[in-house]
Amino acid sequence: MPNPTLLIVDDSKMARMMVRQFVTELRPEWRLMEAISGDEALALIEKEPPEFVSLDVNMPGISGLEVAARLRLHHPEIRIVICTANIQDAVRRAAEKAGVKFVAKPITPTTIANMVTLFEE
Amino acid sequence: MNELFGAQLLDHLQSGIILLNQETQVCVWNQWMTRHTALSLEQVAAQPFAQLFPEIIATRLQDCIQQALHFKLSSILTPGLNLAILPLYKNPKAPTQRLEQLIYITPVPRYLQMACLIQIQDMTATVRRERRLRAQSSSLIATTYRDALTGVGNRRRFDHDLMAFFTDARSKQRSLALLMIDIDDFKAYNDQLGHLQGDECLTQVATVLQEGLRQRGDSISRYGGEEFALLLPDADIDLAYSIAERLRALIETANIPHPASRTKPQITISIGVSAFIPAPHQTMKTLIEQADQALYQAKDAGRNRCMAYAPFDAADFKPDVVNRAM
Amino acid sequence: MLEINELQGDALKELFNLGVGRAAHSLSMMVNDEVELSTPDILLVQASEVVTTLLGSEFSQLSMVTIDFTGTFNATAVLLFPERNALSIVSHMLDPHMLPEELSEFEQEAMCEIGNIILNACMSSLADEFQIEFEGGLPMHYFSDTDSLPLFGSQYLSHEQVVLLLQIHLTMRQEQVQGHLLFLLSVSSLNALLDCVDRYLVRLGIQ
Repeated sequence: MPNPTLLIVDDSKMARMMVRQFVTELRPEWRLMEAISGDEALALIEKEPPEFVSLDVNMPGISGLEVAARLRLHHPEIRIVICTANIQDAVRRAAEKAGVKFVAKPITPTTIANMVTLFEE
Repeated sequence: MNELFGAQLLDHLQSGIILLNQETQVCVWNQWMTRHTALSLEQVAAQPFAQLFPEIIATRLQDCIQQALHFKLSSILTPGLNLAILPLYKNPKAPTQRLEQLIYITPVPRYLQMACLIQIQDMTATVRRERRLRAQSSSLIATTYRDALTGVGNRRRFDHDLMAFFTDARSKQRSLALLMIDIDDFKAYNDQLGHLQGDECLTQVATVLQEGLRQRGDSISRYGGEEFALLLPDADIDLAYSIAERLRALIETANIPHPASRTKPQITISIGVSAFIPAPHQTMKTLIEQADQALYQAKDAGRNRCMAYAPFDAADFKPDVVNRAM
Repeated sequence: MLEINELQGDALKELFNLGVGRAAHSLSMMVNDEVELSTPDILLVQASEVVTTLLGSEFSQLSMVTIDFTGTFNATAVLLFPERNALSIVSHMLDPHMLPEELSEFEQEAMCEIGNIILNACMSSLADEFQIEFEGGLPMHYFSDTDSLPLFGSQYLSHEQVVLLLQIHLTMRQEQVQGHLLFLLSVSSLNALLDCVDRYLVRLGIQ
């Protein structure tokens, strides 16, 4: 695969910066885009669909799970990893049902390494 | 105060005292604990707590002990939210039901390390009294919300439910439906057969209606006189109409004789149906007025029928009310 | 002086979300159902402005659980819900069929425990991520009206005190309730907290 693009969707600037930093350390060749809400993410994806999307769950406006569900429908080729502090089984199950992978916050080099593995597997 | 006297004082307390060291081994265990576990300090000393009570593994109690030892955080565990966690009994030699427990967990610095103090209060009597009071008040509340004659909800129940359902429907923007149900020619029934028979008839109608609703779990209320009301959360006008029609048919086929009826030789009912997703200008009163208006139309059209309220639409000159049975 | 910059606010919000995420996990195991908790907004205000800023006419009867934390910085953490909301949370946890009128002393303890879970989770996520230590006391519960909030009574307040104010949304059994998380701090404690945030951001290499 030529250099893939990862879209980072999180309302927290710090969270986006951390994902960006840890991903860059592991995969300096990846192209990175950012969105601060589900709506912005969907708009960006329509213009320029990325290979990978990392999604926060709790955001103002539409939730990450909803974004995931819509992407499964319209862009089944995009690989999605949910990255959230909401670690309940119900959320895990919802993520599984939507056919997306799941890593638990806090964002650390380890969680991001897991995320990268999930994207590439 | 010397250590021995301190230990004696602890033994006089009417609550359980346990102190765990950094490795969660038992260091202090007062008489109250011995009394309710049949385990002496000698038997438990230096044992890790989870080994002593394996039932705490992976519970909130264990989390809280760890939080106290490693983060110096205190916790409370209440009997309402936690099942009686520790195997403590009034008489541990013949254990029956566990004591209800209120547990406080606090970090205590000891020999340059963190220790964890666990205090346990017996809440059994309080919880029992609470349950008894709750049962009494529930039955009291049930009585004040029940119609004494027919056993279904009374007007107070209806008003209460209407308020709750309407608020809910408005905030969630969901439909709420109302059925106004009236027994046809009931005055004539009373006049001819007497009030006792009239009361009997009301009870029979209420029972048939309530039985007919069992599946959905909705409950009917007596709105007044021979009028009943039914609220259907989450139902749109079509669903509400079909439920109304089913109830109407149920009463007709129940075959309760009505010699004075102008409609049929048996008891029949007319039903007015209204339903909407509450818009800002619509109130609870709107829902009742629309159902009343539809009921009036059902009576006017010859009784023993259901009518759904439909807003007047000037464009195609439809009447205010549509008789869907036609 | 009285300011947190965008990145600091963002970091705190993220850390509190981590904390309430863990608390939601504990609560959901207790009720055997999904519980959602989130803290969408963070605000720094003068303690004396709290009552007007936040409470205003929105709700008058309050339920609050407080815990005192001491350590690298000292704070009184407060979980605050309109009384009706608090009662509906507790009745949902204890017995979904119970009417709020039926709640008693006994349920106040349950509210205490819920507050305990949420506030401890927030503070331990700060402690974890900042690699610092706190000591936390036992929770206390009050019912109060806004005018006589014991914590915000004038005798407790000086101009030296500030409040970190977070909205908290809790969804349990399809019902959504809103409350607030408050951290009452002295100005010097606030500065200590912000130092922790800055060091944390530096350690992560994003400041």
